[in-house]
Amino acid sequence: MSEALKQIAVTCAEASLLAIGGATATLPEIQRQFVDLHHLLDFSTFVRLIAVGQVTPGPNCIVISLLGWQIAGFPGFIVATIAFLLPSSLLAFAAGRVLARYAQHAGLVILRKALAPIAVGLLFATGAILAGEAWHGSMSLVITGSMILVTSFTKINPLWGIGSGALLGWITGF
Amino acid sequence: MMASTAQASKIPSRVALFLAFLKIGLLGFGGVAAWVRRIVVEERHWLGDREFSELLGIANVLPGANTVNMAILLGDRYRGLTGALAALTGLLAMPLTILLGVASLYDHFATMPALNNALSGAAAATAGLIIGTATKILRSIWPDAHVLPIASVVFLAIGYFRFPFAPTIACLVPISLAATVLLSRRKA
Repeated sequence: MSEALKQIAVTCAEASLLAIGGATATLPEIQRQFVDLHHLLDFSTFVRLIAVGQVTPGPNCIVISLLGWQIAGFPGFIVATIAFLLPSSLLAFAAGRVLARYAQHAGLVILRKALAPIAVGLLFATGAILAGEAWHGSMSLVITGSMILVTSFTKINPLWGIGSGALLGWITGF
Repeated sequence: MMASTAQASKIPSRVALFLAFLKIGLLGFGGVAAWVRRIVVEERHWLGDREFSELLGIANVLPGANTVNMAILLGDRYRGLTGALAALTGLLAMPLTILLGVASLYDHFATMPALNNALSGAAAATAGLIIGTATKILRSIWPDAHVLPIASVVFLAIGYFRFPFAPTIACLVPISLAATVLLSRRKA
């Protein structure tokens, strides 16, 4: 049991620092560690848990806590959560402090300006990838297209749009 | 700048940080960054679009989940370490609780086609929410001449060609930096 916990801690802490571009980017490595190398999970369980993570609200990284839960129960859940959150959060905290301290420094002003369009480009990319995954024919296009217009030009609460999307998907069955 | 006056007049308390991120955690389904902007920029006026996009850029290039990094950066910015903890706890409290519930029910519902169709519809709408959010931010920062070309290249590389994230960003950050420097010199 404690061997499993140790393995969860090591794998999740590594994933934390490798997770450039979000938690989803590290799933292949986590799968390699948990499924292929250490046989803590079988592949079909792994895939099912990833799917559970996708239908749960909140940041994608919570699925890693779920993997810990599956392997070692509540202690595994806690260890996976802390091991995945702590390293990257400490780094973000330190980076934030440095950035705040030298906020007016010309180099950092330029760095922040240079990162902004990258963030915007990534948002467009995330939206496009999600639209591709949700693709169920022309009704998807109608839902995504209307939501783009509503979000771009109004301040209506997005829940209305997401609720309508769910309703349309349910009624039309695509 | 509008953004900085809005920020000076509104320094959120720890409770406000906790509640804002609690809401983000509950609502952020598939596209949490769009909800962070909705709540932090549109609802609470803690940041303007320009500041938000810069902060999101930093959260993106740091390792770890982007929204977790946003919670840490914003919480610390306003209320120090305890602010960061308040935002982080708010962000994760509900999703982690719900997760365990969903995990035990999932096998039962996964085979229901109606539920899958509804989830696909919601995902399609969320994709629209994310693209619309990106459009909104783009509208407020696009006068900076480097913004449109860099954002387009990032979109094509990651969204269309599906290049791996880390090496792609490692190439594009220096290019964006160089473009920013060149254009700011030309202006000066």
